[in-house]
Amino acid sequence: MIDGLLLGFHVAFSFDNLLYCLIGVTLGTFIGMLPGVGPLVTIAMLLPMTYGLPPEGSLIMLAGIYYGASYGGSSTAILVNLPGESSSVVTCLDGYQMAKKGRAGAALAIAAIGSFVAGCIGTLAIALFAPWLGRAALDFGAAEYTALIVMALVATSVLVQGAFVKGLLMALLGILIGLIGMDTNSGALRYTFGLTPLMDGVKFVVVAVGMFAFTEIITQLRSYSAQPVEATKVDSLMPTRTELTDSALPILRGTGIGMFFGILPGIGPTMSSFASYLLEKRIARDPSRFGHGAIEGVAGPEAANNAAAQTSFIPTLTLGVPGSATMALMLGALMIQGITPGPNVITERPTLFWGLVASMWIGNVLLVILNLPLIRLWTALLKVPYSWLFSLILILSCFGIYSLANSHYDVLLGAFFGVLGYVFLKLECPLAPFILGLVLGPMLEENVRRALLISHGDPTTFIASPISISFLSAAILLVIWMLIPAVRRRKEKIEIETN
Amino acid sequence: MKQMIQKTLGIAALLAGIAMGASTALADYPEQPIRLIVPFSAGGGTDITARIVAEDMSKTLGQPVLVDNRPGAQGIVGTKEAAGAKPDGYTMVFVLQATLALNPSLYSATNYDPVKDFEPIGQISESPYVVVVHPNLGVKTLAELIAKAKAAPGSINFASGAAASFLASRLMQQAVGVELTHIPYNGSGPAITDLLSGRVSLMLSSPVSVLPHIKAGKLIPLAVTGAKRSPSLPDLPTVAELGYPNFEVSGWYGFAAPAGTPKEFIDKLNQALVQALAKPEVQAGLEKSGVEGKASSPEELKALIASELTRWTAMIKEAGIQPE
Repeated sequence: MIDGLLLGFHVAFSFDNLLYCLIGVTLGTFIGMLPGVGPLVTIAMLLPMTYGLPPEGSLIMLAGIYYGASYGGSSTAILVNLPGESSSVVTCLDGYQMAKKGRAGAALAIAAIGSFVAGCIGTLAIALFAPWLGRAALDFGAAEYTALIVMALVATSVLVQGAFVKGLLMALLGILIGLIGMDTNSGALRYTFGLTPLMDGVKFVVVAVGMFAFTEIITQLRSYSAQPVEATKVDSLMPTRTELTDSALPILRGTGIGMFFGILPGIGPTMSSFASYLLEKRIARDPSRFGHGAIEGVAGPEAANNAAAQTSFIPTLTLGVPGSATMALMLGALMIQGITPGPNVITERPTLFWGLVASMWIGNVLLVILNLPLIRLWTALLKVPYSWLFSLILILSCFGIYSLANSHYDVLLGAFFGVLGYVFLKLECPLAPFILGLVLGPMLEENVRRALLISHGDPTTFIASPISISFLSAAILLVIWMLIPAVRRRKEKIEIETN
Repeated sequence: MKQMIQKTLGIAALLAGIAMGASTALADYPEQPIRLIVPFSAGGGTDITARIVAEDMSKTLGQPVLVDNRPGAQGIVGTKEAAGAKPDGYTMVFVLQATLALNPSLYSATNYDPVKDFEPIGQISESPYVVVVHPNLGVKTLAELIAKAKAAPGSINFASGAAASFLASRLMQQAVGVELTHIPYNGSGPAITDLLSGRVSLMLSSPVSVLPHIKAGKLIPLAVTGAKRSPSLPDLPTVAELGYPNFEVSGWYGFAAPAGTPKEFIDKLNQALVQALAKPEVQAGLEKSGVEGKASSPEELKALIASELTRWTAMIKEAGIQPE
């Protein structure tokens, strides 16, 4: 292992590879900030250019774009409520609130520090456990995914405490919208109303950009003034000591969650940032601060999505199984170079594997160096007048959505979700359960049906493996844990009333 | 940004083409960049294949062949756009089994006619499947698989990541007379994951995605579905060799133009295509991306489209699959 890492640093510290790494992370940070223009589109466009590069250089650059984007995505989420990446949707919830309170600099710094810590631990985890973790991904089949998603949905009800019915209805609506398009099992079209553009379903990025960026612009227009967004309230750029100590544990927990979800194909950074947010909110002493600028709500999810971005390379490299569309492109990039990732890639191509691992760590250092000094510049962005800033955001968002599939229908759909998001906001319906329903609903359906098909209709398949049993038990425990305070409160209430 | 430039150039090319009208002499063709519509996302397997061939054709034609990705609705969106484009020789479309032979019977949303709306230019590749099983199934040959499947119909599961692989699997089951249970997946990636873990036992996959697992002994290959053996697995027999002489199923890619494109232009494009595929570096590039390069004349592609359409329409009807 030590030999491997040494070899890796030897490869990664060559002048060419350092340059590719720097180009990758810089480009990644930049495109991460553009709404909708994710690493997927960028890597797809750059792929033909990497044919001429050596395999190590090309993979190091593409990887840099990938995790650089998860850094960049958080900047716009915090500053202007614009999730550049689907994984930074969660960062909007508290990061933007912090910016509104004049703590934009602190939120950006915590996001960068959290990402850095997670990146370092994630890289170490890859170096130590890659072969073993790769095999662990195979232990997750349809039944295990079902149990995991059930647990995640149960945990979500934490988010909807308060307006319980509203939250539940929003989650259901999210599931319904997630079901639009072609059913994998039968090829049947659902809720498409005969519209061809809806056949492929509603893209998550379209909904996220619509409901966060467009909705925010509509809201701001209503209270329009020529004043810059929050020019007056940028006090200190760096986080205070309390903010740092409050973030330490959430960052570590987020890293753990992110590493776990990153390994599982198909779940990835988006799920991990939601999971981390839910956990932080649940264990916080005062959960009511969440949604109003809680630093833990930025620190945990940011660490989680970066850790997941790192570990999602494990199944891709060691099994040849891509966990997401972006990873599938990485796999394509390798195949073009004549390398087919698989169980033997570590022994057969040690320079490639260890070089990439080492370059990830270097990339994380470069990202911090790149991002921390830029915080002052980013916060200065908030001093730009509304009329300039929001027209620019609107144009960039539309461009980003269009570039997903060169389709103007997607832009119109984004506009629709912008208006819908505004209506929800006015009716005080929470957006988070809606987004989670949209992501998890279709996954739950797909996995339940697949598990039953594979087991030829035997429902005991859901409790056949220790993994599913632990997730389902955890879900049950969560329900009990949440019910106990409610029961106690009711009891107290009854006691007070009877007294 | 690059895509946008490409698109602008494409539109400019189109407008210029209209302005020139029919007076364009053959000797001058092509005078403008040619747009190649790929009805799938940039970076996917189809896109990479298209770009490898397009890049080489650009050199021969002296004008850039610009890939314009128009994904959506299983390729229907982009293919329809090409069907309605001006037949002036400056629009080509990437065609394949799924869009021309399967979609018309699978989806009622298919709003183009695979035969009447296109002028075939030539085939560019062929991609047979390899039949792989997980070692847990306990079979090492196709004959053993057939015996095991006949003993308990429906007990063996097979995975598919797309309609084409599913239909090819059905065709094979019909040919060898067995019944397997279908487990559908969104894309071959997750299907191969479950195959590797042994949750599903069998799959018809492109050789390139399962080759490392075959070499590592994690999957056992039983046969290839093409007319001849695969260069990457020369010891593996074809299904036809194993006693089902007429069985052959392969995916294929090709280029076409909108119907009405002048014959002279089609021939010129075909020449560039044939020249590209004669080069070893193009063949090598295609092989790495998972397909075998194979050029054909416009007439041969036309005949292939017609025979494939008949074959799959009948197959889909027989399977009782209703168009959606």
